[in-house]
Amino acid sequence: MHVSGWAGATVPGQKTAAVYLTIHNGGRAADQLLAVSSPIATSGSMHRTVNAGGVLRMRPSGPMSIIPGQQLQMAPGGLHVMLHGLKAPLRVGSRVPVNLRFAKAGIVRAQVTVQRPGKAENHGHHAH
Amino acid sequence: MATTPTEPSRSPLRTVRLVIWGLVALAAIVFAVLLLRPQQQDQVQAGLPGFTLGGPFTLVGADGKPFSSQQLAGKPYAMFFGFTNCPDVCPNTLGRLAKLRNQLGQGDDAFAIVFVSVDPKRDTPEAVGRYAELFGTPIIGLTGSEAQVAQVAKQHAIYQARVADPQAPDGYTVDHGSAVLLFGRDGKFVATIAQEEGDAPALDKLRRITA
Repeated sequence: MHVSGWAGATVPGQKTAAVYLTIHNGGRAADQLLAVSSPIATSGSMHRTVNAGGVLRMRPSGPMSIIPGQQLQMAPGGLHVMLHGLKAPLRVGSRVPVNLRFAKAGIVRAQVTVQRPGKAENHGHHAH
Repeated sequence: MATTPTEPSRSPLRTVRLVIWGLVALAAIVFAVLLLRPQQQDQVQAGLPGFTLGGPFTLVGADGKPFSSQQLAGKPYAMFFGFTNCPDVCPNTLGRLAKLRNQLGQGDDAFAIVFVSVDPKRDTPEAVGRYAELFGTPIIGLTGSEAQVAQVAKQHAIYQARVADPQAPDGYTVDHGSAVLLFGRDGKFVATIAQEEGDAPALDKLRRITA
């Protein structure tokens, strides 16, 4: 599993942050991402934002499957990890450690960089 | 028993008839007054009879003081509804507006970015103020009482509903309308920017309101 990604910056008082991961399954078997956590937050959960009829709804996504040779790309307005209970604000440029738990690959640790939200193009990207 | 049956019954019947006609006349007057008054108001306040997107509103600013839509008079603005605990679309939409305003190249004064919280229960004036600072460019953060926010959302045709989510902080999230609403210098609604819309058409619309 190759994992990269970014997290949205936050200000003091904000309890939640989004993390967008890109996960490449370089193995031979399909795997499932079951959970994501971070030592900087009390908990993490995987969500999907759905923009249906002009209304934004954010819902738990459930486990995400990744077939061999493919990558799962999370992006604003779609799949994301929501960290909540942040222990400190996420400052632009800092690194956030994340722990991913897969059904087969087990725990995979990664680091993501904090970016100012909206910096990346936030449309036309859909999670696969 | 040759009584005149009409005599006693005639006068109450006439009274009833008179009362009914009187009521009809009164109803017609009341109806005419009610019908004419709002029509006149509509014509003054709006171009479209019946419904106007936007219009005057009062919320609470980041300083805790009332914020009147009059403070936006003469200035184009882009309005987005969201909440500070919304980690995904809200910050990315505001960040994108900040980026687009920068790309427009007319400075931070070209148009105002107005963020209205649909989560007044958690979003205090202080919270929306701090949140607005996240984007490194002036953003007007607004909140208010639940009634104020509900009214302003309704005025702008923005759906909003609290939904239980055990994984979210405090056990809930807020579903809300996703469009960015654009208003001209005269405070009149011009267009929306949809989430899925590309930067090029969005910039065209922003040029229209800032022209």
